[in-house]
Amino acid sequence: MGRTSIWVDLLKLLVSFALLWLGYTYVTPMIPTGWLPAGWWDHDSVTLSIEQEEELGEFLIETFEIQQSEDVSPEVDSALWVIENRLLANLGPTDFEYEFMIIDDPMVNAMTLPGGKIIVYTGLLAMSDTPEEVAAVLAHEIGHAEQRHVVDKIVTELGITFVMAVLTGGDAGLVREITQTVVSNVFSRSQEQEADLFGLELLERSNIDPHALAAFFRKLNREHLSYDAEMEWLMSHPHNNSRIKASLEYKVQEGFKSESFALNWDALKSSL
Amino acid sequence: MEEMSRQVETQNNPRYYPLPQPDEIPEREREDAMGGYLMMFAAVASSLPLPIINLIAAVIYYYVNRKKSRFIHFHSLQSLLSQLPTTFLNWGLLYWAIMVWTSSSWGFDDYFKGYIFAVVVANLMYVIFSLIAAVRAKKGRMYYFVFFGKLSYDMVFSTSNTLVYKGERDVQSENKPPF
Repeated sequence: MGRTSIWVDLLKLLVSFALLWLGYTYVTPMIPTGWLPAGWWDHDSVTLSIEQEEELGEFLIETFEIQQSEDVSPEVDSALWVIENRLLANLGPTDFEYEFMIIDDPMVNAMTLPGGKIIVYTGLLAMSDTPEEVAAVLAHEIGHAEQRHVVDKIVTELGITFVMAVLTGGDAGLVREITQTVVSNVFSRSQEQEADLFGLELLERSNIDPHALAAFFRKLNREHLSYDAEMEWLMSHPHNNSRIKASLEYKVQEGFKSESFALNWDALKSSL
Repeated sequence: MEEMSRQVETQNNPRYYPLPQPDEIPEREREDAMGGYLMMFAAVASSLPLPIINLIAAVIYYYVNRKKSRFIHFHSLQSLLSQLPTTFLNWGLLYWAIMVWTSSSWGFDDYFKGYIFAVVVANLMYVIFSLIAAVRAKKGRMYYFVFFGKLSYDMVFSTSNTLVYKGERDVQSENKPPF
């Protein structure tokens, strides 16, 4: 043994640290709910009720007077209505009453607020070649809402006491903190993967080709590489092509038939 | 019995100086050896949240005390070496936290949470074992951390260590061989 045992000990230390780190990162989220104390991991630590989450969403919308832009044409509004209706009809049981709003802004963006409120920018519609691509993005956002990623993120980053202070009449500074957290829209890698998978399955159930999500991702990568900041909302890990690969490799069940939207997309885009 | 035979084997190993036994170590040496661990705690508390002063303090303490005896040298070196990884891990955590706070492209993701968990555990282990080592040093006993204990022993008690300790004869500066 002698001096060799010194370096064996070093190896043991390094392996122990790596196991601690990766074990907590990868293994803990897989442990079923109830096996760990409440609050041990963020997936089980959401401590806002559905009602409180909806209240928080309403509060943010009222405080910042968020509403659909008046400049949005009826054609665009009705097209989004058709897309969201197809998705919501196949969503199944849900705690939220979804509300979609279009903001007239060239930024390629969409975001989910607490309580199932989803905001779509016209820039996103302008960049999409097909309504299926928009549906794919909306399905992804619905995935974030259904899995409560937004409120989970707010509570994790700011703390439940902070959120409750806002709900019970916090000052403008507190509200601004929450808004910044929501708007930053950067989710963890596992949350993005969960939302992707949820979106793909929802697209399949809605008879929309799930590969539209991969097509949209690839377009963002190919045509808008210089707009990293803009697409950050969707590509929290822009260099992680595994999400595109996973979307491309998603296998639909036998008998799946995609049904295209009966929308004149080119005409709609020209009205933006 | 096994421990005794291992000690005898170590004592007889020509590559290493014999270990001082508790009854051979004066009280003052024990306190200085213990100080290497305890002083670090005060330094850590004063340097939060910038984990740098503890390292500087440990380096100073090490260089001031290392020549007093092999026993003190061993414990102060073990204390210094063992806080290097936790210091670097804490720096990493501080940098990561600042990036998460200031840059929207650094998320509060699962990797970060896992890293926080691992660093907290590493710091706790370091504190617990340092306290144990401080108590053992006060009793005039050796205490070996994983890796750092063996490394410190090898550096201090190896016959290749040419450092001259207070009270030990300086064989380097007295009669010298002709070649």
